[in-house]
Amino acid sequence: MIRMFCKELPRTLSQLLYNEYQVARKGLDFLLETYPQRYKWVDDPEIIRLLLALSIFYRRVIAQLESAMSFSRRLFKSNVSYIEIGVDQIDHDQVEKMSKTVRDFYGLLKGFSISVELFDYYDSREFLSKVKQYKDFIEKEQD
Amino acid sequence: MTPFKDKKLLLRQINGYLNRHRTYVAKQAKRINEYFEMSAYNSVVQFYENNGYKVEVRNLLNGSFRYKLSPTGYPDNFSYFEIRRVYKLRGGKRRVHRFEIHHNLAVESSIEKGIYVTPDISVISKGGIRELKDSRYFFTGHRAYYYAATESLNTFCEVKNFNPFPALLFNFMGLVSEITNDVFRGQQPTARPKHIAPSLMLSGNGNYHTRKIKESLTQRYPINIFFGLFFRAAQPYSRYCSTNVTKIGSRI
Repeated sequence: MIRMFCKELPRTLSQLLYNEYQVARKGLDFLLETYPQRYKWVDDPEIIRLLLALSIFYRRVIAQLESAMSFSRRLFKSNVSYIEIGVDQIDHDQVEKMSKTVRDFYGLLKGFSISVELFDYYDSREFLSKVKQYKDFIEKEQD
Repeated sequence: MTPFKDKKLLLRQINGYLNRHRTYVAKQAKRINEYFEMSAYNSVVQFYENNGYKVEVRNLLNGSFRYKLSPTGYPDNFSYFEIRRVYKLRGGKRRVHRFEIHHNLAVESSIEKGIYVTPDISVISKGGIRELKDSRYFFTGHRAYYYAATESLNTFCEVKNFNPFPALLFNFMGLVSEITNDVFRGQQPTARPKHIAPSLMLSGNGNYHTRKIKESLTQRYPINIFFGLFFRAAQPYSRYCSTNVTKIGSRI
């Protein structure tokens, strides 16, 4: 599942996403195989893996872009024209692109009633418990 | 729409999203890990703004804010924030306290002179940077080593883009002991104006064990440990939970 997120990204970032996903996926698969009774609500593990990959992309990419946006906007209010980070620059144009990337991501989540709270977990067990809460919530909404 | 019933649709939408933004995300890959530190830097500035300080950006270079990425480099070549707290005294007099918020500035040990360490964010009294001309301390080609003297360091923050784990939390206590030993001993300054106490800022959330360590350390020492800043970025500066943030006084 994570491969679609890693495609065409530089190795530094794709490796990070890939490794984090593999570690979390191992934990997830272990729980699903070891406690089938506890996780009998999981009809299709592929969906759980897809949400896991989405959460890792959020934490490693989207949350970081949001961080840069908050800092940049403060400085732009103080008449700073751009920010120099080593040889790179963040200017108004860059922030607009960041903002669009972040906004579109939230739009995608909103379409499926996914809150970023779902991605706020420490380990696979907590992640599964949040997915269960989310599943119960949307099933109740649809009833 | 739900992922449990419309998996194919979700996959299609994710693919569409990635195709639209892949090039931009790829361009950002090199710097993406530094963005979290920038956000923490912003949180500290916001804390001061919400606590009655006036904030100004200093040392802009041709209109640009030059962000200090690493401990190397002269502080003069980088931008920082200056904060100012004004007290109105009786008889119309005013007392002004000025501080600087720096990123990646070396700080002298409060226990042993001649030992330095670089916390991610440090709040020092205005003009508190000293110069050391001893070539053993700096890289070839540099003319001096710059640091903040102990007496001018008011507080510091350490930022880590990690999930918390026990050794990380206890390592932070080593820093507190070394550069703010009075805080470690419970003899922190109390004079106005107040600063955010030495803080550890982590992007990830804690589990039961690390939360227990955090609770124990923050009860024993006047420090802050923030977990899960990705999801609750406003913890250090939020007006609604400002009572949860430990503050210490200024070194005047």
